[in-house]
Amino acid sequence: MSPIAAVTRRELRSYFVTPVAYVFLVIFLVLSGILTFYAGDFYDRNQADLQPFFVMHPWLYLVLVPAVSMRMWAEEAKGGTLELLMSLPLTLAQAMLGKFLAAWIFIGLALVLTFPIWITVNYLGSPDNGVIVAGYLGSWLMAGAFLAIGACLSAVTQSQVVAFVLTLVVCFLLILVGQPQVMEFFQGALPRKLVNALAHLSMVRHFEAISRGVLDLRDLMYFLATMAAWLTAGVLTLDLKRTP
Amino acid sequence: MSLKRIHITRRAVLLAALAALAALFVVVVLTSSRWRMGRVDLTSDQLYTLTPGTVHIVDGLHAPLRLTLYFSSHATRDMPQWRSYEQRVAEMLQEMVARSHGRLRLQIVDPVPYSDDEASAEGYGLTPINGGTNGERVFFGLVGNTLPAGGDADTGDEDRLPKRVQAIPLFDPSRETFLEYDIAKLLYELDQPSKPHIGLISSLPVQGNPVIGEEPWTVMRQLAQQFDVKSLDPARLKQIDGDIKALLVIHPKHLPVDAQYAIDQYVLNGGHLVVFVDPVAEMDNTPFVDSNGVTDDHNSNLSRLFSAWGVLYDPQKVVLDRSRALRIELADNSSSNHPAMLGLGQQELNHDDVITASLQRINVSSVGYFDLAQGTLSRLTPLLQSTTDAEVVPSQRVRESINNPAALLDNYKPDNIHYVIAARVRGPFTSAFPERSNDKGYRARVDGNAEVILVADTDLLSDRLWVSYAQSLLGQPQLSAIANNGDLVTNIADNLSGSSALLSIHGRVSSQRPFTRVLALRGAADQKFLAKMQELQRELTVTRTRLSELQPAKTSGRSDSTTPEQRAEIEQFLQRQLEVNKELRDVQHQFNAEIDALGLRLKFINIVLIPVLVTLFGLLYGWRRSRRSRRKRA
Repeated sequence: MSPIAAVTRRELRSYFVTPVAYVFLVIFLVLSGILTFYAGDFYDRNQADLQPFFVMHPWLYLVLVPAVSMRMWAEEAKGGTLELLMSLPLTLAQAMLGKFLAAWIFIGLALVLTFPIWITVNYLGSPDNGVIVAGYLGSWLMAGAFLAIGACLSAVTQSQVVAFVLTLVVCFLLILVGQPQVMEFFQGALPRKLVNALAHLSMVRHFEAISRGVLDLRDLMYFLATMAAWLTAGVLTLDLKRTP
Repeated sequence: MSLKRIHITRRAVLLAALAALAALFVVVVLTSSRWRMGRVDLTSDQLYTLTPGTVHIVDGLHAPLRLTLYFSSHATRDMPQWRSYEQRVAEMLQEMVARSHGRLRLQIVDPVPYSDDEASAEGYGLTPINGGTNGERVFFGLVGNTLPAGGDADTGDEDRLPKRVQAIPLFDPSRETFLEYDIAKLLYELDQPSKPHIGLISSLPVQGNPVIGEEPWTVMRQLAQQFDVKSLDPARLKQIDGDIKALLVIHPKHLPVDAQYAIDQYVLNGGHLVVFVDPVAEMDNTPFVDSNGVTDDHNSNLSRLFSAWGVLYDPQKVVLDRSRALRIELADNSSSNHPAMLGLGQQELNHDDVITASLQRINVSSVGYFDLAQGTLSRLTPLLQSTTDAEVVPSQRVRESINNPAALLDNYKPDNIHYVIAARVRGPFTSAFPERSNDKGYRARVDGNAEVILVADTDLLSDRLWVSYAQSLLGQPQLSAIANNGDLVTNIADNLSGSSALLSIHGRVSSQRPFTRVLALRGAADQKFLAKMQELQRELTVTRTRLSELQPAKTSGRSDSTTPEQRAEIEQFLQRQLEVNKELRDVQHQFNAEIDALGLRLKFINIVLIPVLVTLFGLLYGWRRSRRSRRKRA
């Protein structure tokens, strides 16, 4: 087994030996259900699509993903197991990727467990299932991007709480950037090209583009680039911390 | 010292790498937004993928065009439906721009109130709708204009006057299925250097008679605004020029064989044809019996060509439809419903065809109908049809009952068939003139499929069925349309004269998908409610009758007193009314309760059920783990 797969398996198992994973899954499922049915008005809206479900995901991840990612490195550093991990025959990058993949698969499992809403919408009407597949894929990619940010920021600090707050703030900014109100605010103060550039950095904008049902390589590229950049930054940060 | 320097250098390298990474990320994300890369449209109706017809039009643009999408973004902050539709429109425009090899430029403008942009939106004739945030007007339309060749919209060519301008005044979400068609048509028309030519063969005086000062019919005047209409003389017609984008054949009577052959070959060579035939053409002014004793029934047919296309049409049959009969005034100033004169509403028009989709009403008179011959490979798509309450009668009967249309209702028996009054016929047509196979340029069959539009009425073209004239203050006659007959003809001509690429763009499925299960529940409840209401009405009628039967007793006695029977009857009725009202409320309540209960069940499954199962699984897993570890310790 490759070192990355070994780390992924170990991490994934570690989620389920404590109640934390179950608590997380339950909170994720209950919150997504409540937000879809109550805040998103899914039933009374009378439209056979999952727009109210997916539109809440950035906000759901904003709270829940930092909770998953905060322990990734901060816990290892605090518990002193980081040195132990580094003594194993694997590189920092492999460890980072393994941990990230475990967390990403875990969030993927949470997403899979929302399958009743998919069945519900097919029971109620005839939705465009291609759009729903795209929505799930976009949501999972967005979760991956948030996780990569969390992984990096968890490497920055020893405190899980600090890691949580830092991740939340960065992800919040990336959500905010695409909001029309924020863009409107910047429109008066910044040149149009800069505002457009800011809009391209917006996580929500790319997520929405995918969840409309179109897989554009530019949007996929954005998420993959975000993940790659933050994970690399995390590896560099860990390396930096190891360097006296 | 040297060691320390090495350490510092390593940190510096890592920090520099971090900074470089951040810069690289920003550069990659920003530049990738400009790249045109692959994409996969996962929507089931390929909503975001252009049809080959549109791609063909966009690919073949001759000169650069500028598109300006006006959308009141500020004013629609609280209008999610409009915002999401705007996204769809912008997405489609961007896709067209991306495929245009730089020939299309797109600009999206938010015409805020009192701005220059708002003034220009109004200047281009865009239709604002009311009801935006803070009561602002909402503009949502597209303006396209031609740019000088080599001109660049972004670099100072703004002051050069655009040569031609076309606009879509409002992107109406209810026309979403024709979004692509509407935009492609705008591009196509902007790209055309001159008015398209339309050929006309008619034995009705549609072009008027300038000698006696007779004006052309309004339909023709409307067509002349958009097209260059060329009248063709059937007596001398041998061939139809290729520059004729569409050919209108109105009331073809005794067409010479050469003219029929010319039409045959025109269609087989890809020409676009529309034929108006009629079992009783009321505007036909030829005498029923001429000086040579030749009789004329005022009907028309194109039988040889119809049979080659697999179409059945009987010029001796007229469709009556009493449920769509128009009310007409008779000679004796009385009025009557005329079952041969029909006002066809939205239910009788095809909503999925671009020609009839946005029309409301078409008035027709003494119409025939089309059907497909057995064994034909052609396909018939109805554009106008009757209701199932229609009956077919000999045209002779209709002509005879001209002064007494009510006589047409004698022995009326609905045939339970939707008769097709106008249709597109599409198929692998073959020539109706196989004996001419040795002629130069003869074509025996069409490549692939050909398409013609057939209409079984000519009266719908005449002003009397759809135009009303009023005198304006200045004494000028003012025209107003009472039906969409004119639009129907313009739409047909528009559709047929466009390139075949434009013809191939059909309506898309709308992206709205309601909950069919809830709709079904609601429908069932409505039916129950209606049945209860009718029950109440019946009981009310019975009670009224009984009360009126008791009335003589009342009038014979004192006027302010009621008999005990009446009182009992009234009380009984009131009691029953209360009961039925309660039953009605119960039906309503039950229906709401059913829908609510369904919602509640779904909420429970989605919010509670799976989390509970996950918790149970977790507890079970934890319990088994702890038992295993206890056993190991033991």
